[in-house]
Amino acid sequence: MKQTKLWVGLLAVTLAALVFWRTGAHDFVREALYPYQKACVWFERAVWLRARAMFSRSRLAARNAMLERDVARLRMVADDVEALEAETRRLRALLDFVPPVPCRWLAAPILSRGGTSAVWQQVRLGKGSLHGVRKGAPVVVPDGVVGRVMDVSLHTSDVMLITDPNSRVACELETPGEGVGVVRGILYGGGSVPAAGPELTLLYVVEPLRLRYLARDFEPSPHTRVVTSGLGQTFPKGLTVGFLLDSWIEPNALSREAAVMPAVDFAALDEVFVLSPGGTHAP
Amino acid sequence: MRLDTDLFRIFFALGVAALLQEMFPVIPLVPAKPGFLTAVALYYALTRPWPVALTALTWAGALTDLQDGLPLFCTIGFLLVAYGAVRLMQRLFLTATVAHGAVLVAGMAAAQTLWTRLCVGVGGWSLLWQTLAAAGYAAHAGLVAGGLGFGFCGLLDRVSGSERPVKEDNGIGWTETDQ
Repeated sequence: MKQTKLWVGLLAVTLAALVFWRTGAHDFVREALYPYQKACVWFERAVWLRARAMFSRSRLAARNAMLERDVARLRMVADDVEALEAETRRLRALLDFVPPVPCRWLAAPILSRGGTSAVWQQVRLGKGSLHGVRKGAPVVVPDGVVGRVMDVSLHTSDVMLITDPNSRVACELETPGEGVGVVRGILYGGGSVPAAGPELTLLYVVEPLRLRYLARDFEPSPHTRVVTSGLGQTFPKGLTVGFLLDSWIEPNALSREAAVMPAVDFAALDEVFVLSPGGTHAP
Repeated sequence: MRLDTDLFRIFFALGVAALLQEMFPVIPLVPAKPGFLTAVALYYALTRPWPVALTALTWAGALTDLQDGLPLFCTIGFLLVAYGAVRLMQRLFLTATVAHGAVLVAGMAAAQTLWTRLCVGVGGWSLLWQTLAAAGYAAHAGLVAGGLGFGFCGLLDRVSGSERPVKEDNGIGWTETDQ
């Protein structure tokens, strides 16, 4: 009888905590799992990858040589970029342009993907409000845009990927053409297949994203780079989102829609960068 | 008042299940998360009295809902309905074996996928095929989760002494968990 009372009491406390202290319970659960998730990520990087490397030495040598060549090439590119930056600053000062707001890049490891139920297209990062991550912050990698931070706790943050059906990104085409001007649209996350009939598709096979509300009369060529337009103050201007595959007139005949393949390989992500205003790179 | 040792068993089992379910990678071949939390909840629904079972179900559902930002009582509501179904099936044929657990969790995982998508509004007629595909993949993942979950919880019961022998037959000690 006493044990029954104990369990009924625990049940009542749980329900009360869920109803009246939901946000606190949400953060508590995430923070409680964080040390174990970090330990699993550490084990994978410190032990598993090294053990795997021991059995793939020949591939490592070739990969090492390729990386050394890439580093040398990037060093030369970095020198050129520094010179261009100096020239841009000088020209901006001469023309009295307002400089873009500098961003701080915070590297964050990926702890898990898909959450517990795999309903949302999201990843969980091992950096949170203690490290300066804020809700709504854009998340990128060198290849392009990953998504946006939608939930933050002390040590972790959840990122909604641009492939999530709820994701919206203001985009524009990089070089639309002579005399065309800027062609802008809204990028919708994957989910609905714009086909005449339903098709059985794998959920985690990346479907082309949809770039909607483009100018109807301009037909962009395939492989055009799609970049963020900077409108809406969410993503800085000029970040690569993907590459255009095909376009067609929308059923309402008022605008054009295009299929866009994302530039980032989401399945291969291990570490991302969270952008925040002010400063430079952070470890 | 002495603490029921089931409290620590359920804490541990749910903690391990939540961590595994969170960390398990989603692969293109089976793009669904194995429902380890559902498996643990259903095991305790089959093997424990109603106060313990309902508490375990509530904690499992709360862990899923809180981790993923799902609507309040989305998974908890599903597990409560599942509890009633499981108790009914237990009167007819269901036991807490690994094989029964695997099939049970497979079915429940598919139903849970449909329920969750209905609760959060992901779906609609345009995504009907994707939703059904998701339920199909969840059933496959549930087979794995049910087998592993029921096996792990059964092992935990045996190791922690929750099972006691009730008879010996042909030199084999038969046990049953505390009811």
